[in-house]
Amino acid sequence: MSPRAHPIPGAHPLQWQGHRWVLLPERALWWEARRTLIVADLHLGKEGFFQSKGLPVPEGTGLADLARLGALVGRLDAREVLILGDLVHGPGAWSPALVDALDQALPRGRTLVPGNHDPTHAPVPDGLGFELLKEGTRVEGMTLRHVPTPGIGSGHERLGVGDAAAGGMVASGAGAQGPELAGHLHPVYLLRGRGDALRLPCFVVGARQLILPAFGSFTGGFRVAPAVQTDLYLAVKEDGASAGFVSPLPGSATARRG
Amino acid sequence: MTPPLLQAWMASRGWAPFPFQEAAWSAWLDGDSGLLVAPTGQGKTLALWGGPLLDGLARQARGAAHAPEPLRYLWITPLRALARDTLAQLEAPVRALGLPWTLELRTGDTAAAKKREQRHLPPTLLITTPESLSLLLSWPDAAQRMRGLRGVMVDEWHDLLGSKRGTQLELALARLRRWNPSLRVWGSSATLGNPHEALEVLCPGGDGRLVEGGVRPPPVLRTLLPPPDGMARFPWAGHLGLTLLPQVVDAVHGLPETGSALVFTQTRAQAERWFQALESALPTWAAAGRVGLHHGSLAPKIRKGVEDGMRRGTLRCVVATSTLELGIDLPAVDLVVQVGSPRGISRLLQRAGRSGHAPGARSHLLGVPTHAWEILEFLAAERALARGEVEPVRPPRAPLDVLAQHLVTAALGGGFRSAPLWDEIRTTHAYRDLSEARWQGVLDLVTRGGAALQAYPRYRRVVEGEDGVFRVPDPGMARQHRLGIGTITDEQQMTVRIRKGGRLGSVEAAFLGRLRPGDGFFFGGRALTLVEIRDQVAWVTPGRRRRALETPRWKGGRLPLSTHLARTLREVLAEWEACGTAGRPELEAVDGLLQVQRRWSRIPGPGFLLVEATRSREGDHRFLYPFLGRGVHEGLAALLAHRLAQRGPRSIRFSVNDYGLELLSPDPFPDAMDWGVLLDPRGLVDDLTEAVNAAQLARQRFRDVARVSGLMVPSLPGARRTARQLQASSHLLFDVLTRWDPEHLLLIQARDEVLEGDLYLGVMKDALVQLAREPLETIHTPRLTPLAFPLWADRMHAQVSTETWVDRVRRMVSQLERAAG
Repeated sequence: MSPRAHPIPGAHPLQWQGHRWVLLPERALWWEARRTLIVADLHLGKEGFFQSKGLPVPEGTGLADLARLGALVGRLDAREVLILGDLVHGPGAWSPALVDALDQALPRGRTLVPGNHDPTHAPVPDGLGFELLKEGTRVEGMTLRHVPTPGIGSGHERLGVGDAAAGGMVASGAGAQGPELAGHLHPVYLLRGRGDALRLPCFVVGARQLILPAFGSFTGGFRVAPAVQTDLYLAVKEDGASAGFVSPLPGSATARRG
Repeated sequence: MTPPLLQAWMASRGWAPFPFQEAAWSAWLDGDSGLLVAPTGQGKTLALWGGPLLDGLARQARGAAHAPEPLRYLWITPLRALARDTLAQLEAPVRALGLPWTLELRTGDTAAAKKREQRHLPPTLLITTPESLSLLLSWPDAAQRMRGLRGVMVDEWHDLLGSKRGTQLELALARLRRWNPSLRVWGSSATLGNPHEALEVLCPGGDGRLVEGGVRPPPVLRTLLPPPDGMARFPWAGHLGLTLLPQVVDAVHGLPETGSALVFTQTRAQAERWFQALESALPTWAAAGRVGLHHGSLAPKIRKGVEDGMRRGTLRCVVATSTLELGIDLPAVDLVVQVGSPRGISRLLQRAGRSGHAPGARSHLLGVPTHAWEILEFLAAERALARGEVEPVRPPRAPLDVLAQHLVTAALGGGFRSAPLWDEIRTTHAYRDLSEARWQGVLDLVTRGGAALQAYPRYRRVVEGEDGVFRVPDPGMARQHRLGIGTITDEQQMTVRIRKGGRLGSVEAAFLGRLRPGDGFFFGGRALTLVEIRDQVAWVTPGRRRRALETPRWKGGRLPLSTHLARTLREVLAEWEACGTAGRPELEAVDGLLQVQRRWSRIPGPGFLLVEATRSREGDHRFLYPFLGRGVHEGLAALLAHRLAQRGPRSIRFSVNDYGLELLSPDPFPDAMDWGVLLDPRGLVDDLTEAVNAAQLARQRFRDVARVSGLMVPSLPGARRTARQLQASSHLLFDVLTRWDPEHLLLIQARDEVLEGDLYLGVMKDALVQLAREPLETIHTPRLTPLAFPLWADRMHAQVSTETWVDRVRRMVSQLERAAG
């Protein structure tokens, strides 16, 4: 599993559905051929939302996440950033500071598939020049979604995720479509060592579905476990640390195949 | 002195007033406050209630109004389950004496319609819990409504005293006293080691009266022992052991025709296990429904069924945890069985009090050790009982999270001004030394989110008006606060429901999270199969009893052995060393075990600290046996692991039990350990603070702190979307705060709680000073000794590491890789 020379040390290249992808420890996915950086579930402005409801959550995480995103864009020389939903946590999130920081972090190409947390009518301020894609839009044979389609083989629906977890957004138009890229789930894996346990964000890679971990640091997680034909890749990087790595979860199919 | 009416009523029940009851009544009539301390089953309820009754009679004689007066008395009970029983007990004399009073309950279980009615027309006496009292204080007109209170009675004060619930009640009482300076506050308590402190916390200011009830002869404790030839197979560790089941069954069979037994266990898991076992061992009783199970995770209806069964005498053998230890009015049983170590004397006394209620009668207890060392624990307990020693119950020290919650409550309850409330709060025992800086800090927390103002630009909760009054302007936030009032922070629970059937109770979510649909488990004495988990409900079907089934392991069920009992245990060991078994059957039973311990190592004794060094495939072990109880050992182990890890990158794991601690390093420890330096009391607080940060104890503590201070929004079934969007795990909040506002008051609170509550800083300081004077005796043992084995077998590891986080993950992944082959 030693990664080839890559601008991001510790990244994990993956051949999947006829494309070459790179899973990044920063909890992002690199679509090499299109020079597109894909992320999901930033939940920007979540601290402010908590504050306004009387919960003292300090500022900092959101801007730090954007700085991390900006740094990635720079190192990879990304042409486009594609966000698979839940860019912000709620309608009140957009502040001038946030708009500025986002504008600075992103390259020219900016695409959003709005998620259930993004405001319905105007998900992003006009000035930012986002291209908005509808849930289920296809790009080069890939279906882009926020909410993963249940039942197409990433195994997550057996873990009790499905319509109930979709926050009222029922995945629709699934059918025989796919392969798809999705977010929404915030998958994490509970890694247990001897007397030691850590929750780590992970990529869920099924036969026809790839679910990204949440990019935002102030986000919870939904515990997943590997299943038949579904591999987990742990994204290991501490906030603020310079290096990290992506590790296929031992015991899952790809790892066994070597 | 007892007035004829009350005397006559008591006589009609076959009672005569005890001197301590009369003392309490006359103190009440003098306008005093105080605390009654008396053993279980000695008429404490009437002792507390008599004052108000006599007062009422006197008022009636003076021609006071014959209509029921609204809200004159509050009766605070620690358990909702107790409230209904209490109501019946209090109501009987009121009716008999012809007082025109109304008595009602108000707890979390009370229906909303009833609560509204009570708001409109409050009863003369309201029976409630500390949480519901705080809720009452949060109503805008609380002051007007409560000003007329004459007295507050706090039942089972010892049960509240040691927890934040007690602190919450202290704050509430301070409010009530300010509104009515002549308010009388009376508590009742079981015997405890620090009655004067308990009194001062309840009635601060030094003029409370302590009334102590009749002393009861200590219970007779008989410890079951394995037959001589069975001792070899008697385990050295574990806590679910059923080895002695046949003897327990014999004892139950030996009961008189209508006799009944109450089997207490340490944990709910153990209760489930023993219930299963007793049902199969007593098939005719089981078939007739005479065996019952009672623990805190079962649905109230099921619990009530068991209590009623005991009252009617249909249940002959009930397995229970501490839920049946407290107050609930039950007929005395003929036999109390204690499975596993009692962990402390006061607990043993409480449980023993369930048998032989008659005044002066001795209660009988049957001790059932589940492993060899517990035989000695029972012996130590017997000795402490004979000496009449009981542990003290120490109140928490100025918890800031409870204060933050109280400030919001006060802001809701008509609003407050800063200076007067600060003064009021300093009248409590808990906050008597609250500095202005800390006060300002807590005020900042609820008004601005924290001291670092720029970190919380959108924060809003309590707002200071132009008139200098602090209020909560947002009705949504007010609702949220009222839902979250309380300080009991159990593990997150998940309801267990039977398909097409009712609610069975609740199990910790963490346990159910490990099960997959189709897996079986024991709960409420039944074998169940998990169907699915949906909306925080685990749906189950009654399962076939196949294969190995799991029993849920509830966390927090394992109390540490009290320092007190641990010390007595060490004495018992020293005596065996000096005088042999001296014919004591308990010592004879463990003689073989102790001989092995002595042959392979040494018997720990006064005057030196035993250290055992052992190598195994896991690495290099060091076992230390200070006998200070699990709580202290945890801190000591973290300290040692931290100091060792400071000397070079290594990972040290540790485990603790009540007798000692184990340090385990994958690399060998140096041959000559400089224990003197490692155990140096200097630098203790700093090292320990760093050590516990590394060990993440603070992170765990923060869960409670976050919940109490209102950082966590209570999750309710069917919560609206905003509520769902406000859910964040306490771990996540802890991480965000640590990174962006590391000096936040609530983080400080969590760290302080770890030092005092988890690590017993005070006891530790003394212990280190003591250990520094004692020589260490290191013995290299080829294998685990009888003392070391339980530590090894019963691992609850924490880890202190100087590895980077990423290295730690790498190591864990590679462990997994090896395991996966």
